[in-house]
Amino acid sequence: MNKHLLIDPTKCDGVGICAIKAPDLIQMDVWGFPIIESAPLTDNTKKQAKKALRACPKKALLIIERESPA
Amino acid sequence: MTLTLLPANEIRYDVGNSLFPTGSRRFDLTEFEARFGSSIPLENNADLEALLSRIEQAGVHGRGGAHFPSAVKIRSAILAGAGGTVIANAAEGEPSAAKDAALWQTNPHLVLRGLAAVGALTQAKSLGVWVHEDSYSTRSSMAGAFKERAAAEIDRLPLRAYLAPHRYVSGEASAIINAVQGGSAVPKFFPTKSRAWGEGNAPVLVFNSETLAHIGLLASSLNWAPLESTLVTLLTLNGRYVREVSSDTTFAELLEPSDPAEHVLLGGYGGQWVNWQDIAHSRVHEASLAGQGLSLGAGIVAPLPNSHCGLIETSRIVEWMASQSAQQCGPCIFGLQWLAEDIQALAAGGRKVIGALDRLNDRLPQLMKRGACSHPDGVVRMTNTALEVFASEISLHRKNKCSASSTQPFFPTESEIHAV
Repeated sequence: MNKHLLIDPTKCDGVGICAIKAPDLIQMDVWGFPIIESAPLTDNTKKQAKKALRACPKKALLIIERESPA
Repeated sequence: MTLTLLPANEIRYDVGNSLFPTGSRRFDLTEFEARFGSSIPLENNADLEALLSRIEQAGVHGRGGAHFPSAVKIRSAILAGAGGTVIANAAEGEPSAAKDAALWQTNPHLVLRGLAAVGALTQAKSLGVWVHEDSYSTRSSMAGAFKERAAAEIDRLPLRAYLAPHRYVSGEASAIINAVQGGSAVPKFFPTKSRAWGEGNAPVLVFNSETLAHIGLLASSLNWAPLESTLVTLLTLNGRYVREVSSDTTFAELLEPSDPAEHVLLGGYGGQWVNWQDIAHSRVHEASLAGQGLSLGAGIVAPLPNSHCGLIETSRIVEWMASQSAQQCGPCIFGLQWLAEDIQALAAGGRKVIGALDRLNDRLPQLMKRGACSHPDGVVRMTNTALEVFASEISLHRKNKCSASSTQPFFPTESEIHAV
């Protein structure tokens, strides 16, 4: 089981603070919405993921445990 | 505007085969039971396990587009626990689709038998049918069948209809789960993408109507060796035609020689454009097509008449699909609108073509797997294949030329249906 950062796209309003808090995990698309790295979290990116999750005013991010990224 | 579309109550279909044994009217319960017999006993664990084995051996899979093996879905639902709701999805979203309507308007008892069987297998507490509120002919046939089943006291589980708003994505499984659990009929984000049951205390299992018809055949006492067949909605200039196609039929045999086409849209508005020569000798059979990287999707086969331009038609489809977004996810709200504009630029032709093409190559990959449902993914897939298949047409459009001889729209969109 691996940990992954996920986004509920129905909650996200494209505020953008997550990409600042987690630059190794999140890139913004041309419309200003986050594209999230699908690979499992590492020790380094786990910290970034938690910061981004706490910072999101829409509470759109979550970290879950699962077998594969798909 | 001249319309080539038949209204839903004029769908043509083959008769005399396993799913549509009757003429252009609904099989009532008496006629249905004379033809298919009664339901096989589903009293004890041995009965249920026997039916599940038959579903597994017959290779029944989801006919809504995902083609997931039904026995696996049912087994995972059994593991998830009893007390859920099983839903027959009768809300095909595309204006070009017609197989749900054809099934429900002619042989509703077969679908309902399949629904009741899945309810028994999964120890559900209730059954439901999800249907668009403005599918009047389908609803009328359904109501007749419900009454006959109630009078004959067939269903042990409560059965009800759920009315869905007429929007493409309201037939999407997560939207149905959302609505049946008390939310609104828009797609919902499920973090684990569980294929079967929704989350929470009232799990919901959604099955495509054709899938349930196949399960209904296996649950019938007057059954013959299960025919491996697929319902195909054939879109032609003369209207939609729902056909039951056996798995050894090729596309060349399916299409009439009077419908010459170089390009075919396979799987509908979220499907794939293919060159006719690449599928002419392929079988109309999901597993065979998968070997070519193709899929029947929800069973829609649309040979583009040679009189029509693939870019203009793709542009109309993308514009309509963008209008069908539930407006929940940023990539869908903004991305599909942009996509519609750039495809429109390709269709219009001239000097904007090159810029639009560059943006499409850059941005299309950014839209994949970004929404709560797969609505944008389907549009991206269809657009990607259009760019490949219509490459020479794009070159023509750059020079302000177009191969089409007709300016009449070919693919139906919702507004045109209501304009009839």
